[in-house]
Amino acid sequence: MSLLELRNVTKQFGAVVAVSAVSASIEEGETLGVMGPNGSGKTTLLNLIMGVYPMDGGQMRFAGKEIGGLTTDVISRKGIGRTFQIPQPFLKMTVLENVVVGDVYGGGHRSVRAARSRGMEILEKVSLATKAGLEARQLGLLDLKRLELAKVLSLRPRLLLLDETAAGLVEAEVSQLQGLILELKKSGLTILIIEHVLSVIFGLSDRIMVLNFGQKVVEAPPAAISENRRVHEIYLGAKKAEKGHVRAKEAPEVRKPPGSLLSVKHVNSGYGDFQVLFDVSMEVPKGDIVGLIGVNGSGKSTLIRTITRQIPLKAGEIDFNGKNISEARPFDMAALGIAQCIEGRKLFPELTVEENLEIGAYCARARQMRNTTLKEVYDLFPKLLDRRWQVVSTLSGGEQQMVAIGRALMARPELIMFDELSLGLAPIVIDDLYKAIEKINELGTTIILVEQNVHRSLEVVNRAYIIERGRIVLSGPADELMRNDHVKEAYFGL
Amino acid sequence: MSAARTYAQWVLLALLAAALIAAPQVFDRYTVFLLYLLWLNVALAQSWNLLAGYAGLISLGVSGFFGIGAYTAGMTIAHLGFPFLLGAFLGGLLSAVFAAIVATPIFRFRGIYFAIGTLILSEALRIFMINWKFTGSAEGLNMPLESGASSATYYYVMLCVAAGSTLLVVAILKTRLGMGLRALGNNESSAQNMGVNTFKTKLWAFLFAAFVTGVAGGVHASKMGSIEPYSIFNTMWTLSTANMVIIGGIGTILGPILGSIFVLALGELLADYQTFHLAITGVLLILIIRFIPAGIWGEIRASRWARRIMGAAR
Amino acid sequence: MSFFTLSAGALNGLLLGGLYAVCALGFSLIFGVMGLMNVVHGELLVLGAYLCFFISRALGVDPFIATIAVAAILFAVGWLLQWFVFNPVMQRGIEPALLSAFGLSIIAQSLFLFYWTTNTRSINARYSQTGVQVFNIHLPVMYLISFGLALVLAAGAHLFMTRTYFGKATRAATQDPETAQVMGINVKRVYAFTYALAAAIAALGGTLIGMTFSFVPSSGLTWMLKGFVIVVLGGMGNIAGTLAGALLLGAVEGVGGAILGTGYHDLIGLVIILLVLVARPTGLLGRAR
Repeated sequence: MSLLELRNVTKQFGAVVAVSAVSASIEEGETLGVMGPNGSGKTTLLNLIMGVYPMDGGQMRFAGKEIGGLTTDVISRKGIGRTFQIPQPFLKMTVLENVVVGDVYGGGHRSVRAARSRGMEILEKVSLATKAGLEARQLGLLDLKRLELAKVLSLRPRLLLLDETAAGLVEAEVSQLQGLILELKKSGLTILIIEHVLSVIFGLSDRIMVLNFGQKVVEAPPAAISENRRVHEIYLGAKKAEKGHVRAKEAPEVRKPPGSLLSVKHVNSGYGDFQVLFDVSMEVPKGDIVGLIGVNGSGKSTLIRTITRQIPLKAGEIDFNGKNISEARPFDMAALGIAQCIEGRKLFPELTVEENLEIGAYCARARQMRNTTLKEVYDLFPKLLDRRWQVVSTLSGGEQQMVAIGRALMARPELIMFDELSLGLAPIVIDDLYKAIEKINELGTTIILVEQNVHRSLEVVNRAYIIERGRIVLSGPADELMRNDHVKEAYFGL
Repeated sequence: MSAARTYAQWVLLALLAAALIAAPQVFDRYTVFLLYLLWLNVALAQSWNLLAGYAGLISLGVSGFFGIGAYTAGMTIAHLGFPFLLGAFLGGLLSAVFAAIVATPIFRFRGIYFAIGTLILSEALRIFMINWKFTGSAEGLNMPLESGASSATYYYVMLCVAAGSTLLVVAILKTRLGMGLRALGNNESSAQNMGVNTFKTKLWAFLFAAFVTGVAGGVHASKMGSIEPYSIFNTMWTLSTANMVIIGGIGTILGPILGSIFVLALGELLADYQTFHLAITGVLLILIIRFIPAGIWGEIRASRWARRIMGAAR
Repeated sequence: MSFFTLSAGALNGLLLGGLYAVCALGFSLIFGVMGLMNVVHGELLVLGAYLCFFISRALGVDPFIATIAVAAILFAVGWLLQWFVFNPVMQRGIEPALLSAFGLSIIAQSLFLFYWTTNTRSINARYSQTGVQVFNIHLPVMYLISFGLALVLAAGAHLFMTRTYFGKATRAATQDPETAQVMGINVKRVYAFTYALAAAIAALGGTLIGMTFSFVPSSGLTWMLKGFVIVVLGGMGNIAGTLAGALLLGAVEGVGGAILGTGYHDLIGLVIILLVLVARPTGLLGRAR
């Protein structure tokens, strides 16, 4: 009998099917890796197992007993421990106290005193014993991740659910954490691990399950997965070569005037203690389309939000049009001429198409030209003209993305940054959007394009930067990168 | 911690206890009454602090539970001739029962709705009691004064309630329940992942707070001799309790005590300017929330000066 | 309990709901746009009532004329409150703002007490105590005026939110403050304006309260709670919902009061709201915040 058995587990949020009839089983002592692009349903699956919300269909059995419908605390007490991608410690309690909670509630000790001594043992195992008396909020990221593991161990779990434990860590830290998890695996614990850092998931898993759009695409041992063409497609994007000839844009250095519109110089930034970007530099020439490519969690969105000054700089400088904008505030962006088209679209859900577009032209400079720009946007996206009075939450994904692009255009920017344009959209729709982007660029707007889909991106950009774990690992003209086998390596990390 | 230090601490505590016990014999009636009020407020503050400071549950219903305790005591003393201690105890009990009844619906309210939900409950109770003939409606109740109960007696009883609630909070925090409360106050979903049944945990804290508040209300009713809904169910009880805890230092044991002393002392200093006293408390509340959210004691505790004096004691 | 009495109660209640709507509109806006439960809103209403009382007396004008001045004063007060008290603590979660509002409430009530004592006041105009007879039902003139004003105000607020650029910016800032910032909208100023506007509307509400009923320094709490009930019923920030909720509350109170007696009048709304929240912990129509 498997320790954990999932049968046709399904979950829907409104019209979106997050998890679609996923079945899997894990034997005691096994480690199952779960992979998949952003939005493929991995975390949702974890949440379903932990009872965060109810399933819409299917069954889940733990040690033979049905756990669907139970609440999170009950499931934890049964012996399933779950870590969070962003650590969720009890900030104002000490490290030791953090570990005691699980023990007195799920771990079997009812006395706090007994739990304290066992707590110290656990802290020894994760190398946190010396910090037992510190408050959790004083810990750095790696220690917080260790604490996440320690907390989960205090429950005396039979099954560990690990959610992207390596996210945000540097290489040395990742291997330390990996070593820790390996020891836990050797001690006989059953593990389900979600990871984007491929070396980690390949190194720990006995089998790997790949999800895409909520469905299980393939399940096999790591070696088979790394060779699997479908998996490559999902991550790197289908080469248009399959359908025709691949043509990368030539770097048009001869025709366009030199000079960077945007200069990012040796930038470090992050959220609080969580450093995400390490010494990132990027030059965006005026009139170019520059790509920023990397897997989820590599820091792409953080870089965009750093440029728009939503995230403070810890080091480095950002120049726009020759001026240092490191001290600017987010609402200066529109006036400066920088627009962003954000991941997840971020439209104002209850405003209409036209209202969303109008808000895009809020800053004084764009406001006067509002009506002209509005016409230009409708020319670019005729579909929106039909839907101008519709509330945007009723539009399809592709249409929403058009509104988002249009809204960015309304600010008459010199630079637009597109973040994950193709997320959750069908290939045909993506084709249309990319055509629109090329047109926008031809009319003179400089563009930064953030994408997971390597091939798509390289077909349209002049040059690209590859970012991995907060560092730029590779950069150059698109045609060079296209031929570069290292792109696959650096990207796929094998 | 060195033996000398522990010894010194015990001696200090003993002296303090002696001083507190001797107070009614030494001070005049008015001061004793002030101290009585101090203990009353400490009792309310400690129980409110357990909910708000540790479990993160801001209850704006203190006056409601206070009133239930007061009226229960009042009714049993006036109509059934119960001794006042029993009446007060029953007051706490009934308060806790009421808490148990409303807990299930009210804990479903998230965040701000919980706070307002408790406020509405108290307001509803107040309006109801103003109209309920059974308890004397707007005119309230009169209770016969207990013959043996002097102002000193009430002082001691309230001191016990205050000391009791403080010690109970200290004790609770050391147990499994305390761990669970603090965990859910820090991060409710993480607590659930650690196996904490957040509903049950919140319920226990809620019952405790209701009980203590009810007992305090019961004792106070008996001391006042006559009660009516406007003053007993007045939201000022809630506001002043919250005030004292926040100013003194929310989430600490000493904070509520210091806060109560501070606010009462302030009230005495400004006794000639009654209304300004309240206004100043309000200003203080806003300033503290804005600039020193940990409260007076919280800031002292966190400052390096204090850490040096108390050494590495943990 | 005749049908006539009940319908009289319902009709009067419905009209009174108009007054409730004016009092609750500001509260609803603040809650909707900023997620702030403005527990000092009752004191804003009472302040409006006091100012109207004194200004109309001093200048010898009709209370509604005086309201114009009062609204201007309260607009300024509201702006300052949001800018200096609330804006700084907005990101720290709900509790700091809520408790700060309580602090303001205490300050306001003590100042009222100090300057204006506990004397019960009411604002009198020639017409404020008169009524009209419709189908044998006595309808107080003030109720009718309030109802009319409520409709006008609701329509005005709706037009402002949907037709003006600033209104759209406000709605954008409500739905997604961060993105709105990047579009160039100064969200802090939007918040300040919203609070100021709500306070100005409260000025009108205060006038209506003063003319229809009486008030003392501590009257605020009851009105604020009514505002809360209405917002839960009708959805926060939802103008049409606030109007509907207010009318509904008024009508239910009217009928309930006819059945149970006037003492329990205010209790009805509170009980209803508790029941509603039990069934739907995030309110009937509004979004969960």
